[in-house]
Amino acid sequence: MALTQTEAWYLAESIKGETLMCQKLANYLNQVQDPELRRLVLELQRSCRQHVDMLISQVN
Amino acid sequence: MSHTQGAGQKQSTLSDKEIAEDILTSQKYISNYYYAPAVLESMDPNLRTMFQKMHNETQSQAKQVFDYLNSKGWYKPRQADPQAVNDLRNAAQESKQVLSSIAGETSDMGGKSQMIGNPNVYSQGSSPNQPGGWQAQHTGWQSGQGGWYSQPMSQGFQTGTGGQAYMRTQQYQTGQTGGWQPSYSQTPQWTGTQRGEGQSGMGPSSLAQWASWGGQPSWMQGGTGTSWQPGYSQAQQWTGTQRGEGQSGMGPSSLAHWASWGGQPSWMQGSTPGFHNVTQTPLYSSYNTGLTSSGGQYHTGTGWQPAYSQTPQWTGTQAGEGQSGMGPSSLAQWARWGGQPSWMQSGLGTQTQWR
Repeated sequence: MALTQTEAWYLAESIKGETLMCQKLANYLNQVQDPELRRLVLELQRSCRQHVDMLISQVN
Repeated sequence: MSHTQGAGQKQSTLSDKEIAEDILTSQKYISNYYYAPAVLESMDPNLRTMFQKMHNETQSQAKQVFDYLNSKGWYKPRQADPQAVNDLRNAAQESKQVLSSIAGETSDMGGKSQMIGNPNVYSQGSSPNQPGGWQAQHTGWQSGQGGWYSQPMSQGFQTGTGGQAYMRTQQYQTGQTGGWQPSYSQTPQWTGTQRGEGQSGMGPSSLAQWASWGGQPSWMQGGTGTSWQPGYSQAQQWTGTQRGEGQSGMGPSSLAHWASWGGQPSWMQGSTPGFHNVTQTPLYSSYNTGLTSSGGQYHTGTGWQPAYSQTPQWTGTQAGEGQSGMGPSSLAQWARWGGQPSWMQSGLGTQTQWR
């Protein structure tokens, strides 16, 4: 199904937002001191990458 | 342990608290300004489902980050002050009166409608003033856990285990094709992007700053934050963008400048062709895509489909959105944005017609 204008816009913005999030999490991983927070950041990073993959998969 | 801010600038190190706060702020922003409206705006059911999934996941993860901050004592929402509680009680009382009056009106219609506010429709729980006390009986109108919303489950609007107080006050209308259409002559649906959110010149962390609030979130103030406090013991899908959150002086967000916008969108003016302002049970003949409610009237499916062939549905996140060259932080700038959204210009988009 062809994307609507709005769908395309939200997809593009979501991809950019999640990509930026992945970049930040990667940086934070090198900065965090607390092991608990480190685990959380790792988990979030994994999820973030999944989101980017899902979003990109919608782009033909 | 540190990162470079830019060429020629000295390095700085973020603390764990700052990192966690930034992550939470980013999650709030993505969830509320990308995924939440994307769910509402997606016509493709698969795309809609995907956005809904990511929205839910982001909210769940944001709760994890909040829990971390809270466990460290870095995010301690303050208890509501007595005035706020009193205002809440007054609002609840007024709401009950309105519903009672509607019930009286509908009973005058010969019993044709038992949709809203009719005591025969809803049975209250043990705590009438508590969210979640409303339960539908055999009409297809259901209330989710902890939610104050009376949407038919066939709309795809159900929010699962969301504990937010969704007070949706639309009337329900029937279009020519039998599709449910919200009546936007009343309060639009709260989608997390409404009144006072995103002040000019303020960023992702300034979401949902009501006009009268000029302070900082509680977690920025060491225990002297805003009056609002999420009920984390109940809410399972806290979206993190409630009243009073955010901080001043940050970022690019300028969403939904309702306060400074003096006009009305077209859907609030006059009558709209194809829409009939009735208060009777909406027609659901076109919805038959899955589960059926106990009353057999409504059918739930994978997603409600907006009737784009009719007047576009305003979801509370449309004005000025999606402009070329305008980012997420410039959504819905009714007042300060002088142009037209692309969907208002000929040849661009197929969504709407400005009436």
